[in-house]
Amino acid sequence: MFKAALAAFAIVLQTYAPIEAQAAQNVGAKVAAVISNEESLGKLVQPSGLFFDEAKKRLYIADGGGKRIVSMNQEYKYLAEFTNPLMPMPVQVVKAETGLFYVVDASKGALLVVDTKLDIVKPVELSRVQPGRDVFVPGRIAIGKDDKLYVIDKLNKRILVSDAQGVVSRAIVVKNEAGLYGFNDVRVDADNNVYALDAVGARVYVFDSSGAEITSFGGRTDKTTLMRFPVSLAVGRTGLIYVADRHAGAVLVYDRTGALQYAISQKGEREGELSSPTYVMIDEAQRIYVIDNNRIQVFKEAKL
Amino acid sequence: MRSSYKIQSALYAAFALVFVFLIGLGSSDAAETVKNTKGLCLECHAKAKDILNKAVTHKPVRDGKCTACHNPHASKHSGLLPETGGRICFNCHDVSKGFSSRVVHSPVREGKCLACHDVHSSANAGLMKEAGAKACLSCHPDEGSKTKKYVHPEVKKGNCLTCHNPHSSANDGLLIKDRKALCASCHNGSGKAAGKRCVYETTGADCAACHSPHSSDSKGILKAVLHKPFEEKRCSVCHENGAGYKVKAGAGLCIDCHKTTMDSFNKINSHLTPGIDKNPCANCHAPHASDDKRLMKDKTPRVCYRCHADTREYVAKSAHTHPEIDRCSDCHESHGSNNRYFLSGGGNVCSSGKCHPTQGTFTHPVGDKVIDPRSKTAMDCATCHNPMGAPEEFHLRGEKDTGLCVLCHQV
Repeated sequence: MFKAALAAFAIVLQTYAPIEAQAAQNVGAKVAAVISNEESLGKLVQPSGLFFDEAKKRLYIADGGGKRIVSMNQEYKYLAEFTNPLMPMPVQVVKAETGLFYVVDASKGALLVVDTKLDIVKPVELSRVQPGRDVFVPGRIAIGKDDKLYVIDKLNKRILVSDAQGVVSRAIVVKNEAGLYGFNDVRVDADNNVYALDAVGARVYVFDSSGAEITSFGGRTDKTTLMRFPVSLAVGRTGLIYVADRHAGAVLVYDRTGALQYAISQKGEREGELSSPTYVMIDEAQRIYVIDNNRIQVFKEAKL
Repeated sequence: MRSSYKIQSALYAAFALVFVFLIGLGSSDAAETVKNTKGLCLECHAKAKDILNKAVTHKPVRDGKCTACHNPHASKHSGLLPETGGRICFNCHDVSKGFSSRVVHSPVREGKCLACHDVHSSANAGLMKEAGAKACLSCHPDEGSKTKKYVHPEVKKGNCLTCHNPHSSANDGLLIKDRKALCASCHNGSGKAAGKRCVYETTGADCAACHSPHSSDSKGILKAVLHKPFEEKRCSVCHENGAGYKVKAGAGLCIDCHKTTMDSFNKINSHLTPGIDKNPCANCHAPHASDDKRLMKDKTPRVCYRCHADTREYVAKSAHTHPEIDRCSDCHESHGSNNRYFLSGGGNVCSSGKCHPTQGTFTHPVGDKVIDPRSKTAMDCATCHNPMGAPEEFHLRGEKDTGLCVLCHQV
């Protein structure tokens, strides 16, 4: 009886305790590295996107304000950077198994394909796109195991799935658009399930590999998720969903039902704290990369 | 032996009853339990007799319960008050009843009840310091402007409370009802209005999208700034001809005319998001008329807070915010920015314009070469100040004498 009461109390605490308090309950995420103004790297200026190449163990940073794509090894040592006048403001980067990079350039609102070896930058012309109600403006992008590209079509509230040549095979949409403000982030897991985030709507959507909506959780009036201004999401290898919340200064971790499991980090400026996280990514080694203003922190969860 | 046990039990029972009674007394309203000390207080405070002669008297005053609010012996606050501001008022006036809806009037939020009310007595109902609209216009002089040609009759009569709740409301503008329903409660808005410009479907329409609810120099109290196609009666620029004047699709419609506007969105941080309106531009802009030259849909903070609800809550509960907190566009770019938080001049936007030109010249150094030891990133104004809300004066992130400094400077 006492144990049951204690367990119920613990659930209540977990649901309503402030994020700072919950951070103490996380599985012991520790900072593995901080990437910021090192001499070889130079100054990061509004980095906006990250990608980890598992085959080559390379970290790529879309350093939009620095007008470059930076590559680092898995110890986070600077290796090289790619710049091109046709790619003046890269904000998103993914790499296909072909070695080609797909980049979103904010200055043109364009999706680009980049061959760094040949120094070629070309726009990706998406074809066979069902007409939307508005103009196409690419948002964040993700890439699946089969090199399928997942591109947020911002103004049409959908995610376009295309092959490497830009041929669109389908568009992923939500069942009920009421309450959807738009997609701000997208990720794909190993089974090609698609995860998307609506920042203003404070809602996470999960779609299966066919694009059918499986579930969603959160919402502007749902206080149980503790989401305040979620801006990015990632999926861990155990299927947990990691949501970077800009106002909370934390990465909130949920299961697929939307039950908050724990929080990583807390609001602050010191190492291990997050001031205003804007992007989260997880590699296969379960390292959690978080862009926080002009620094990138890498967390490692002790028990996973 | 047995009788002494009975007496002892009876005494315990009596003690318990008295205890329960006293507890009961303690849980009732503060003012109810206070003794009438009017005679005693007035022996010295003779002038206070005048306050009893006004038309409306606060109940504790009327009942002579001066100590409901004042401590007769000592206090660290002026007027021998036990607390400051609205805290005293909310001891009796339940804050959850009418004072804590989604939108709270700023004096209520700041506990400045006495900005509008006289705490002892008044010639006006509701213990108002001023009668009718005078109370409102002392802070909102422009809203009741009678210098304009056309004034809403209720404004002319000074009946602000016909539309507004002065304490709090679930609706923007402290309106007593949703904007559409509010107008319809007086105006039969069903049908079609054949205005000078268009035949407009008025059933369920948002009247305030085109009409100023207070006053205007245009007939029909139309808002001051008109979208050019609307002004020129060229409805078909945006609407398809035919029934319902269905609006043409999306942002592309606006970009057709406003060709260079798209460049302002093509930034690292972009506000080009669909939102909940059919046209993303219409999330912020009014397609027909506005009182703002940028054709904003509403007052700036209201437009921003529709999406940034968490920011609204944060600002509301913060002890200190920037005095110009409602002028979002003074610091933030509305469309897009290459700086964090959509700031128009980066982290040092404060000193980049005319607002704080000397900042950084005599204060703590800031800039690219000054590195915050905690984050290893460049220091700027926002390192120490959080204009959106902070616990300390000057919206400092820490106490100004030492607390702030030791965040970086270890002692």
